[in-house]
Amino acid sequence: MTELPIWVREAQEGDRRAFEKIVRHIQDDLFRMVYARTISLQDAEDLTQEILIAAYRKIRKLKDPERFRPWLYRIAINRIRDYHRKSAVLRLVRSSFGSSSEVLEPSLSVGPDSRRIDRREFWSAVHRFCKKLSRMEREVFQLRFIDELTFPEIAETLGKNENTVKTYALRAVKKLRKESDLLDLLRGFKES
Amino acid sequence: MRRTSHHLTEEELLWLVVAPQDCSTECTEHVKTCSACSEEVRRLKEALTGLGTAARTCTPKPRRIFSVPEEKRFLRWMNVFFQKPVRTAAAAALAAGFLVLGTFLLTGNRPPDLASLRQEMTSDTVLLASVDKLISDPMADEFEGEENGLEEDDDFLRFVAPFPEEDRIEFTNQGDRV
Repeated sequence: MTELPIWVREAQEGDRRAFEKIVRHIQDDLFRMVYARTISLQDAEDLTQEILIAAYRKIRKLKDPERFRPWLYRIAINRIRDYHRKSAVLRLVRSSFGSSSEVLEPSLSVGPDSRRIDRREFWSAVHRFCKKLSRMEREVFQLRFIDELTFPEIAETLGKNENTVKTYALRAVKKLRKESDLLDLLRGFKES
Repeated sequence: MRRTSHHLTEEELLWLVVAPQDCSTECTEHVKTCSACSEEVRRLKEALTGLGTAARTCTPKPRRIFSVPEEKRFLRWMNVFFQKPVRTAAAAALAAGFLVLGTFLLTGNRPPDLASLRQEMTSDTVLLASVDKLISDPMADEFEGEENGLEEDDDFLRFVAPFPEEDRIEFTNQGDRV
């Protein structure tokens, strides 16, 4: 979107309305990115809100407004990493007290009738597959094929060389090729 | 995996899916003519595109509207204050203040007080005058003049510096000193 850098520049000068325009423009993509990594509606909402507030507070530090998207995704990745660290500690505490409060999102079939997909089944398959990848392979795979960022944007987000990022993507796709679960699920689910 | 005489290797195939712009023209041309390879590339591309579409479809809508809280006026001013140039200037001023204060504390210097300075100058003048007087006349006043000092006394002088003939010691038979 060509207007995004203009809004970013205005927001850097203290224009709150410009930042609200950015929020409206980016919130769906950002929320999807966070949800894909948390699979919890409540946590994804809270984290998205936190990420947007952090971005608003730090926006003056962004040197190139053209690079807003990778910059925001970097903030998001760091926040999500913190979230997973805290969750791991909480899980440990809960398991030691013998209680489990893991929230599973309700199963729901979504999409047009011809291509219905079970939401829970889909995310479970994605997570099962992602567990087979290394950390960097997983990050690159998710950013490229779930969040649909370009390779230059991913390289910027992760602070890596573009060719390195492509190599990680290639390795992940190589593993996906052998993962029949996810491929079967996705078969027939084409871009409408 | 090695390329067979007819088909692309797995690596070449995957590169065509992941980053087709980075592939050699040879590979690109091969896919155009080989139905098996092009079918495999299409199948994988479809799966990956489907992944993005499915992720979009399977993500629930957030139940709230995201917004940034309005900053209070004070916080906005604080933000302005904590901007880099202002922050640097404030830090420099603070450092200079500490430097001046430190110098005063270490050297014992205080800001000049006019009354004490004048008193100090007066006592300096008095001191210098007494030093000058001491140089010109080192004898204390109480020892000067006959009425205040010792009078010349012949007996005392003879005791201190006797005449030569008086300086003999004679012994009598009894060994008494005369």
